[in-house]
Amino acid sequence: MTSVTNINQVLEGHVGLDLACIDRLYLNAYVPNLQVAGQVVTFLTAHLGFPMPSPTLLEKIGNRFRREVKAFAAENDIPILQLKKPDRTRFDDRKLDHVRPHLEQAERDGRFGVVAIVTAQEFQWVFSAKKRTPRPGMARFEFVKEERRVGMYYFYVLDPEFGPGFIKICTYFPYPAKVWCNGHEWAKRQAARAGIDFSELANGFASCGDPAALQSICDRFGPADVQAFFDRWTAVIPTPFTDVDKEAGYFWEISMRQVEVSRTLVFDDPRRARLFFESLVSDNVGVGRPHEVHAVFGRSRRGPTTKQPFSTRIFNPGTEVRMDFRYKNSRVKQYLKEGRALRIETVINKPKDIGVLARLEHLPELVERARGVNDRLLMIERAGQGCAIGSALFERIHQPYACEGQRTGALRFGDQRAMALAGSLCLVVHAVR
Amino acid sequence: MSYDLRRLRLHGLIERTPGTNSYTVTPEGIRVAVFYTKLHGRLLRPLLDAHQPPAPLELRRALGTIEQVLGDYITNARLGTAA
Repeated sequence: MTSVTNINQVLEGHVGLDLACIDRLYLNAYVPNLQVAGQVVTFLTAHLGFPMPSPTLLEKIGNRFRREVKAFAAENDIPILQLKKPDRTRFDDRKLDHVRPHLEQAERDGRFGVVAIVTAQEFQWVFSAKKRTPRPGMARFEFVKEERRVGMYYFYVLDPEFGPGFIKICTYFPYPAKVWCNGHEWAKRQAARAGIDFSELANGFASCGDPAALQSICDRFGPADVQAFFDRWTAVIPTPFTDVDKEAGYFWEISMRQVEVSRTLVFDDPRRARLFFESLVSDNVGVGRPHEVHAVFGRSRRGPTTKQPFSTRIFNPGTEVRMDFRYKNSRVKQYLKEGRALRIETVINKPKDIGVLARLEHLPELVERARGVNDRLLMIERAGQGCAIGSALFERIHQPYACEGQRTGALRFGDQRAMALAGSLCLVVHAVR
Repeated sequence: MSYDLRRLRLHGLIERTPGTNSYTVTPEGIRVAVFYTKLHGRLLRPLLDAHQPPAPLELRRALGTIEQVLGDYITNARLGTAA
């Protein structure tokens, strides 16, 4: 690999492991029948049996939930961390960085369960009650959904299947929740259980004794695994909903908020990886242009055009080089993972961007399309490098040609019409493959 | 349009989807299209404009030297100007 800077040469002989896997999963948990004001009234009156749909009833549920969380933490000796607003100028001031020592300790002890609870205040869409008094002695409440800064509990867990993850529950009605887990961490645990030999590269894989078996594990990951994770932990941690609520159908359902689907190509000799990647970035600086983005995402440019500005962003966090570009709410990242692997990550922030519905059951469809995005990007980058053609092909198209008994004119290099045809083929070349 | 499509098809750069008016680009077509446009855009055009910015200074200086030396040769040959 002495003078390799061409993606085709790298991919055809120097890739030790090529793996497509879900990376980060960030999910919405919402109660579908508590989304509008009428459903709140039904919950308080028809379900809980109160004559008056008063906001004080919601406050009682919230307070009970807070008490239960504190009792749960005290009973199980779980630390409650009250973190301040993160310092965005520091790269290591995320909530996870504060919880990581607890997760690592639990991992060392082989202890699965809730390792820490983090309290925070965040903006959430919750119901607020407004008191309307039509005349003295009469009270009437109106429930409206507002984005308010409210208290949240993060339950960080070490799961036997997923490793680190959290479930975040809002303390205000209708108690929206979020779930975070990681597909690579899941795959690692399944591979270890199946006796597959592998080594780690950050949250991914550096090498594997049986790449095909590992890929089949990654392909197996689906909505049932995520649902099982959620069900497993909501049965353990305190929730604002009682068993009676759950039986009556007042419980969370999961939808996709952010899904990262990655393809990682680990090089067998990473010495020139940086040089190769920088040349790749400089050759593909135009990938954020509208027609190329549409080709990468395989989406038609017909219909209303997207209003987002199209751009390719190349930036240096620390000593790394990264490239990303956006499409509507989603984006594609490309970077060198720890200087050893080319990582392409399609981050879908809104499944509708690629024509997929948001509920968890549509995860396989979304993953298939996001993998298509990763593959098309790689195909475009490969087509752009090392594209020299053999002299036989060049001579054939450069001269008049007879095929199937029909004669046709030459496509001479430099001829205005031939060049325009080649240019127009380039515009559609990626969309049709 | 149909002439160009026919030319591309017979050269094997595109192929028609049977029963439709749609065409797909063949692997050879991809290579030829990218090769033609890249060779033209990144090599031919910059080299034809190599005597002026943004061509590298070394190249512009070298071209200036060649032009000056060729001019000296022509002057020393005393050919005169064409009638």
